[in-house]
Amino acid sequence: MKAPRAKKASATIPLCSTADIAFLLLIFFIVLAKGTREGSIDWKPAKTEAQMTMPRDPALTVIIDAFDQVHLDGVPVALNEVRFQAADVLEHRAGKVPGRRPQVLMKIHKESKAAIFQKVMGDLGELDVELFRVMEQEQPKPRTPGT
Amino acid sequence: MKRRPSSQPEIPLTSTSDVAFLLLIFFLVAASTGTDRGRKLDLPSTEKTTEPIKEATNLEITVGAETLKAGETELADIDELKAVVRDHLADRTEPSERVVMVNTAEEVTYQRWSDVFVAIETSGGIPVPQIEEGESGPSQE
Repeated sequence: MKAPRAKKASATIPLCSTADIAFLLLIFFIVLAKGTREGSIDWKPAKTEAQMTMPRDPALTVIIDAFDQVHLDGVPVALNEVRFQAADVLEHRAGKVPGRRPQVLMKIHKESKAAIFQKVMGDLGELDVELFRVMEQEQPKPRTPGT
Repeated sequence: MKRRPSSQPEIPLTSTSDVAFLLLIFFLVAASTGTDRGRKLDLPSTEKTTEPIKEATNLEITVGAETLKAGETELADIDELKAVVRDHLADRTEPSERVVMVNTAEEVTYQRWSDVFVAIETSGGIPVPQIEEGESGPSQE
């Protein structure tokens, strides 16, 4: 009598967590891409106690970092090229709303000097844009009685 | 004959760490977006201005690294600036009359400039920075 052969176990690669891994990689690269553009730029916002608003769908972000370097959407540009480069970026920006000025976000390091930021503001002011200064909310100082 | 031990039902926990990581990264990404807040800056446009700004009657503020002046009067601090702006604009209703010219020295920091601007805005004024046309700015190496 022939003895029944034991069934061979088929070797398979477990694919249950492939989707999880794919998602993790996707999110990792999204975070990394964001980091290389703006997250790594060293700047500290000016503080204010005044009421602030949220920007609406900005078309361009201008950063003046702690080393007085100007960045347009995370890309460093020379100070005397800000106007032309910004105009070029805004010209080719998708999703323009007719009749509405594009909004430009300005993130200026709090220790930056007027010689730099006023030049950038002047250049951006020449373009038909709405400027929005990003700042940090400061809690109002408690007033002592009698002041 | 021996009985087989009955297997205990278990919840598979293999992918719990993956799920935890996904949630962690999701919240990190969500937290890092949409946090920008700030204030609008209205710069006068030469093309759009229909009414000339009456420089002679408008208040002029000069901001230095340590000093603050309203016209020729030296001001002690930002609070005094607010009071001066409020007094000056007391009977002025037209936007062009509420314009406050701001001259800033090159060495003034953005924090100080911003404090002056916010003080003028919250006192009812419309701050307008005096930026010289064709200003080349410092060279950047």
